[in-house]
Amino acid sequence: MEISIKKDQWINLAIVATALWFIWFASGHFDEYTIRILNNIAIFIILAVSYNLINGVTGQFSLEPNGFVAVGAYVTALLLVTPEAKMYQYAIVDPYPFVLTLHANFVTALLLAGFFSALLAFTLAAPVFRVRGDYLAIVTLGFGFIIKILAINNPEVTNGSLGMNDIPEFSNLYWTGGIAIIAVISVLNIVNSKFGRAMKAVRDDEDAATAMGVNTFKAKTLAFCTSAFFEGVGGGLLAALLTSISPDLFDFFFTFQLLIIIVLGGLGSTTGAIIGTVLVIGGSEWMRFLDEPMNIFGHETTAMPGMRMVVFSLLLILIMLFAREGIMGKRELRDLFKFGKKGGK
Amino acid sequence: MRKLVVLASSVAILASVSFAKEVKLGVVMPMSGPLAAYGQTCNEGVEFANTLAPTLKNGDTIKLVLVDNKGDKVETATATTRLISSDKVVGIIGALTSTNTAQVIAITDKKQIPVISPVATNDKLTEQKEFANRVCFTDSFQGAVVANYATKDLKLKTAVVVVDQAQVYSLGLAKAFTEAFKKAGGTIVKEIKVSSGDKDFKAVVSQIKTANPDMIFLPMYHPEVSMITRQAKQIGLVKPMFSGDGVANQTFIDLGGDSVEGYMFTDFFDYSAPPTQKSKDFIAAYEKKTGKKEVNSFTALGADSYNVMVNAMNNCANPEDSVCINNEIKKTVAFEGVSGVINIDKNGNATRSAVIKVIKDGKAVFKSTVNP
Amino acid sequence: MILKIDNVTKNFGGVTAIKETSFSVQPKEIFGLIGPNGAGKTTMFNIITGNYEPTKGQVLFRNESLTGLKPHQIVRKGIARTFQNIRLFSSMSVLDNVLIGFDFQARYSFFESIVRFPRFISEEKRIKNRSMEILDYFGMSKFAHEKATDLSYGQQRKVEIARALATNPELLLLDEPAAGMNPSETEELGQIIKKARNDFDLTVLLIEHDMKFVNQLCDKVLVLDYGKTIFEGTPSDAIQDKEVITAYLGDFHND
Repeated sequence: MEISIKKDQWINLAIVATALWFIWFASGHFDEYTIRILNNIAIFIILAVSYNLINGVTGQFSLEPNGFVAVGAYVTALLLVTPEAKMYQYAIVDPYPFVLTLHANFVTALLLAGFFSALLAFTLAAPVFRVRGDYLAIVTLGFGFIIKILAINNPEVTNGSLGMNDIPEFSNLYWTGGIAIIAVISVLNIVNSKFGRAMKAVRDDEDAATAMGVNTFKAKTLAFCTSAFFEGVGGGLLAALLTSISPDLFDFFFTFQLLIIIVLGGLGSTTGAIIGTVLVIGGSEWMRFLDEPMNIFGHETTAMPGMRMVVFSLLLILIMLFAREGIMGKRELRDLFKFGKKGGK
Repeated sequence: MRKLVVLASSVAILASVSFAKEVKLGVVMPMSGPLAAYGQTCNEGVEFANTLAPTLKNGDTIKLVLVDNKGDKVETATATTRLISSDKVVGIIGALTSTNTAQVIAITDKKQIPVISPVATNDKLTEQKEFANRVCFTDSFQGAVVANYATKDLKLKTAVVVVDQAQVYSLGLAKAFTEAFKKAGGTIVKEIKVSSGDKDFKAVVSQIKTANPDMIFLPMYHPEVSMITRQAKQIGLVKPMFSGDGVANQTFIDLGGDSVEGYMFTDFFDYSAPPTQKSKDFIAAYEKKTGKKEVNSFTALGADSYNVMVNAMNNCANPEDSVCINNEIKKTVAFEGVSGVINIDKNGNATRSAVIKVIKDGKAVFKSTVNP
Repeated sequence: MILKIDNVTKNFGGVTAIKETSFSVQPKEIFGLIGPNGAGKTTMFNIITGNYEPTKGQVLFRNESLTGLKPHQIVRKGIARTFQNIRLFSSMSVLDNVLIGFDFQARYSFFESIVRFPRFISEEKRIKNRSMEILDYFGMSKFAHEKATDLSYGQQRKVEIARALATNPELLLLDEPAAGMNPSETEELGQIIKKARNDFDLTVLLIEHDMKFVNQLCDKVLVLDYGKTIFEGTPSDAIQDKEVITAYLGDFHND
């Protein structure tokens, strides 16, 4: 037992070191387009592994990401955009005076984005989880809509449907990639602890979990609030990457995209969520060539915009039909390597 | 031996001269997704203008690189970055909506690449930005056009404004109209807020009926406006009704049926009253290619975005110098475009004419041109 | 007396599942709850574990009333249970299943688990070692890293009992532990329960249908019929009692 723990630690260290080296290498050597895609992938990794925590690991079907990402993005934008920029940007009505005073540095903004989202999650979770968690999906779906409507209907705070622009561009691969590494490690550490075991027990058999002394309400709330925290931080990173946000960005399709990612990767698998993100975000960019005129067996086709979404959806359907557990199922990447070590049955 | 060298070098020189370069222009448009219809219509104009004028003065060919942004902001950012860093475009046309165009500009301003937006009308778009330009009028102009026409030409004094909270376009246009209407001596009796997606406007139309204004201004898109006109007709509310270009399409007439008879709206362009010779030529060529001569405003503006860009490129010694192109765009004066005469000022905003149309017998009929 | 059922009645709407039942269980007793199907035995279990609230009466554990406590709180008071249809956690290994029982006894916080402070490491090590000890006791330690539901039925039952023991209970409730087992497995199970009772200082309350098993194992039995007690005494006396025989006609497995 002792020896294998040490070896695991070395492998982990090596993986993190490689990831850090990759971030440094990419920042210096890749072109901007590739870097932008990598930034997108990093942010969506943060969102996917945390969404996977409540949906996959704890087995509570939730539709929350667009809401918490929006909260995180707006909190960050409000704290980072300068008062001058706010003054000339707010086109519909003038901003409230307190809005102009809001200011923080990037790290504080991200942390506040995360904590505010987690706080909202807590107020949502308490009533929902006290009853059966089946209502979670509806409540979170509604929550997403409410946040969007709040953003639109309070132009004195958020500049309404015009959104907020001129957000300082703090996000780069060091931030997005670094925080992605932190998020992944945090989630993995949570999963491999008594808290993660409790979450999985709730997923597998909630009554049996209770019978073993697990406080299932606490487990579900913990998972939900942790998800919300990282989704808020991810939203902040997104705001500082796009440098402009608007309510229409945080629609149901945003959540749906994340749902596809974690289902594709394998509900419950953190490494699966990472793989799913790379395939979906990277893949849909790579498939852009399907939108352009192509040369198929010597036949010139005209441009067919939207073709890549058609192909993408077809692939998804195929995977759902033939590999319903997703790519990793509930396993993590390292479990595949442990196969040889286990004794025979 | 000497003959061979002379021959070889002359061939080389000839080759480098006759080998015309390819200069790339980027186009960011929603070609799929909920805004696809608008995006495709606009892009049609850009591409058609490109087929009519595919080369620069110096012989270089202009290649359009179209990237679909699906109407989504994250995609817009990725598309713009790709065009600049991978495709190395010297200018970008797009995007469609003001919020997505803002996203394009956020990137292009840092990269010093000029952007021409065909149809994004929000006033704030070009503010404090150096490389943002447009060929359409702004919301404040459009709002003033309606306000002035209503007060001066139609002698209307009171108005009710119905605003769509969820649409940037609506908010901007409503604000512009309100300010201009008041300035022209009119009174806004009431402002009613709705949201896109709403379907029941009975409360709205009865409020308007009670308020009994001289006119109603509905700066929104056709789905909601057509429902309001129908429900207004049902309760016998008959008043002069106005919109901006958000209803300037056939779908509005189809959806509204006879309830939109007499409806007035502003638009950028009307094919039945071609304002310039370039207009006439474009419409003729378009008819030849597609069999239709109904050239949509968005198509005309798409074409003009292209034409203004090319005009600026031709005025530069090096047509790939993006900074020069941007400066030249801002010096555009009395440019004869497909959609009318266009001037672009140093802020990147266009001063140009608008048209007022009225719906008669199920058709949008040109009423008058309003020059700035 | 470690457990006292004090005049408990349980109604579900119009149906009375348990009617004014009282009994006591002495420390270290193996006490059997028997009766025909629908007699209210599992309902009684669920009342003790806190899944149901009694309509009338109360449950006293070590002289403390359990009324109003939530199930997971009752576990922490020292009462653990297994299920009739073996409910192991299907996605987890045998070891992880047992660890869950220990988890509320692990003394580290959420934050400490994320940053992997020394306390996390030492506590995890402690409970992992304890879990392996318990698995070893049941001869299951070689399956520690297997998926729990891949094991045979009899092995899974042992894991489930091990998991319940991980919560460090004083009272263990076993719901038809021998269900689905062949005679030799049943015999083995009986030996294990007796041994565990001695080695872990347990009191055991079990529901069973298999009279041979009950006979071999239980010190005392309570016979329920339609929610009412019809006999309380030793197993050998129970099978000779007239009322019990009438209620059970043909229901005993006397093989």
